[in-house]
Amino acid sequence: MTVTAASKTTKQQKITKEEELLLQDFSRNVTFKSSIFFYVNALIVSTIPLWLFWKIHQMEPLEFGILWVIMTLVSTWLVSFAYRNSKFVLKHKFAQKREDAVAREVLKSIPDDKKMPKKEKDERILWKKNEVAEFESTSFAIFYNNTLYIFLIILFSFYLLRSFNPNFNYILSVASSSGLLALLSTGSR
Amino acid sequence: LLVSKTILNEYLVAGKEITVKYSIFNVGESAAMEVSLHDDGFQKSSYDIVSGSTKAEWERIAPETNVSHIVVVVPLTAGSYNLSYAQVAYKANAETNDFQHGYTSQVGEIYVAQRRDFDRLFSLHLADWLIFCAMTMTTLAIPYSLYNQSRKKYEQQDLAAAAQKKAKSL
Repeated sequence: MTVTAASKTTKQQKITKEEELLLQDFSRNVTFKSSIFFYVNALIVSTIPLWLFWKIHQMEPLEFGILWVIMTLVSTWLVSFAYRNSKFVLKHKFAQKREDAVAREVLKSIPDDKKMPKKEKDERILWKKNEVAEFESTSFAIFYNNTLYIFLIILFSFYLLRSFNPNFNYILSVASSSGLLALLSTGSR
Repeated sequence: LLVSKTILNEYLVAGKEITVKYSIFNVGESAAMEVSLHDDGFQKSSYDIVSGSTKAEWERIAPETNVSHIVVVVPLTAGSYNLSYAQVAYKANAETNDFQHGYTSQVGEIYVAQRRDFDRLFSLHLADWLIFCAMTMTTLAIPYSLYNQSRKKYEQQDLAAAAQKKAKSL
């Protein structure tokens, strides 16, 4: 009876692990580590345009420091929101694209003499696929959103809003760029 | 004599040179003698005189001719200034000893802009843009290269597998 109970528990554990992976796959939530990573990247990309506002629009840091801090925090949150959404959409695409290659890689890595049950092989493939899709979707989401954000900031600040007072130019450029980025990221494609 | 005082600059900026031109036209029939021009409008507290002088003299200005005089000044601070008239004194002809006095036209109130406002509009800021590009490239190049490395690895594997499959079928 003890043996049967133990095997049932192991089966349950295996199912739970698989379900966990699937849940991770289909969930928009990111891990704490990913979250920190996104926030740090978003903070960096939100800070870079301040150089332009300081040197070209001649906004003095001491005079506008508080405004800069507030808008940078707002922009950081919106950009990291965009990262999360983009990553979620991209992850599924990359998972599908890399499925075959990842499966081949995992199967190659298992020694021929080692007998592994099919379920364990499938689990390994699923785990590896998730890992690769996670990595590629994270890096591409950051690249894509950073590019779009920088482009929008320059478009708003130096073309659409160039005749505005630097104060309003800054507030509207940052708010519009990060807001638009967040909005576009909510699309499903 | 008709005397005008004009500013040749389009934009007046604190710390940048302003060129002031005085033009004297003798519209009379006799030569004007011992002509002197004197402008008190540029106080040392507000302006630096870079080139020329606010005083000028001509021994003789022939009839139906004109002369001009240039002064280059630099306003020290931004703000509104009132550029009033300069004074002219001359003898109407060679025989008389009496001096006639006149005034140039007024420029009126001028606004001298802050240097940073002018730079914002007109400076090229090449170095600033280059630094911005360098910072931006870092935030774009790193994530893209990470993605690209992984993409290339798996796409190469797919290509190799496809080539193998083709070779087997042949």
